[in-house]
Amino acid sequence: MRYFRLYVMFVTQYLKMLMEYKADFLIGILGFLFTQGSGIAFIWLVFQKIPHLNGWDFHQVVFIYGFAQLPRGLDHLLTDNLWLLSGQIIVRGEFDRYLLRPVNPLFQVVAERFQFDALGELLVGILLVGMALPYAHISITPFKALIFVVVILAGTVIYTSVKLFFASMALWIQFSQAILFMNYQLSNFAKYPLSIYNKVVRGILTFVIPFGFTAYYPAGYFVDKVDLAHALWGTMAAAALSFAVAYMTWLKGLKSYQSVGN
Amino acid sequence: MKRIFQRFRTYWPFAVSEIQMVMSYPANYLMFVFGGIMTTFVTYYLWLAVFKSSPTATLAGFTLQQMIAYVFVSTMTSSLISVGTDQKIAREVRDGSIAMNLIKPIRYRIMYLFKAIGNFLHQFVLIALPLLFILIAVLHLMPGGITAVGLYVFSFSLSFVIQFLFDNLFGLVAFFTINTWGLSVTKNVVVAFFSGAVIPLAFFPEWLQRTLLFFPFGSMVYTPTMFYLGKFAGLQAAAAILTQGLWVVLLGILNHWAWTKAVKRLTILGG
Repeated sequence: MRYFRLYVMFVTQYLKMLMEYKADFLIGILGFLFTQGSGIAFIWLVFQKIPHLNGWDFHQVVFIYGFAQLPRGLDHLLTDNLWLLSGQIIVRGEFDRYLLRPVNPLFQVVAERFQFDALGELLVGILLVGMALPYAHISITPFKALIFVVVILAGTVIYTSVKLFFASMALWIQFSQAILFMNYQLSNFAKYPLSIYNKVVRGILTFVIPFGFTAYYPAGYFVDKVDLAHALWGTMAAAALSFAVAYMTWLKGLKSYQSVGN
Repeated sequence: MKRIFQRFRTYWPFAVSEIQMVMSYPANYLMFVFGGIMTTFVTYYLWLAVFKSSPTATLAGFTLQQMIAYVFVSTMTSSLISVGTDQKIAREVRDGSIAMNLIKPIRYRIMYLFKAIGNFLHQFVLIALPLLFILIAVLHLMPGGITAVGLYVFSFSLSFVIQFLFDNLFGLVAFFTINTWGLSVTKNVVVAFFSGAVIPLAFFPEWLQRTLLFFPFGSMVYTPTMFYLGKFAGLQAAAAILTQGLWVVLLGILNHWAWTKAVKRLTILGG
């Protein structure tokens, strides 16, 4: 409860800052809208020439593409400060202040920044999923709606965990943004059906950096390409496991952390 | 001749310093580079699947081999010409350091040209060569002949200048907004899409292709890449080169005009 109150306070502070620069905020959203828009335009142009992609029709591909934006956008909205943690907070010696306050340091890092630019991603995701739903032969039942919410949240946890794991490395090596960026980029593979990649890529996205569970496996269930067990339990397991690994790494990093001085 | 040589000696250190900058943390730099070109591999697999699912062997005039070559060469071209000049100028405008650089006895934009060349050089070694290696040695996809390579190099130098002038103009938007990150992302996406870095312009509807001929974007990536593949010949090749030349001139004039205005405005604000 105390943490919730704190979080609200953090977000209000950030909102005040944002309102100072309204135009810039809109520009940020625009950036994401265009990025995702260009991806969708690409798919549309390609589908002008082919009837289906590996057995997926246009609307199904749009669905998975839009679905992929949701956990990505949610994570982006909430935990963007992990990027700064990996890139500058520790390098500049600003990390020490979190350790001095009587509040969970990870909570402080995450709560400090609320990335509203991500609304662009979420907007595109919702729009695409909404547009694809009537055409992609998806029957909407309360059960499916519930699963939808659960897997989106689990997917968000996977994104956060990957970021936390690589950002935690900065506790040892000070700057880990490059390695975080490289691994985060793997999520670009998840926007399309995993079945188009070779075994190695598929293996990495399933068992090593499980971005496959942020889109293909759960989204595949709704268009009858993946069974419920893989979609639901697979995603939950991937989320739980990656969070456990990431959080343990974070705790270990905190123990061996040495300040660079400020 | 001697003056040119002297000029070169004055500005060359700016190119070197850009190279040294990335070389101070080589591991990190390489990881950034690798992450950046990862989408190329996504696109590569995507096209494999697209051609496998296609009822015809060619799409918009491209065979699978040509398309894969297109993906690699267009990535190479767009990374070699995008050296982030706009971001750097924007940063200087924002933190005011541009004032210091403007009063030094050097030409600001020539300095940035040399920085761009420095960035080109290390990207050539670290991005272009590996991509070419994969393309030629691993995938066995050859360029469309020796003339094709020659035309590519020539057309590429023009597109390098076009992008440089374009970024120079774009750096000036820092006068109007502080979220240059958002604007830059938007710009990069729009440029990538309409320059053919995402998908060959031949896939666009007829009317859009014709409209885009009037923009500088196609001249940046599509034109040189098509030369590499040997897909432009005769009249089309001449028209393409002419368009590129025209854009160099136009953007050059626009640049001169905008910069003179912007620098004046800066002197009013500065102090």
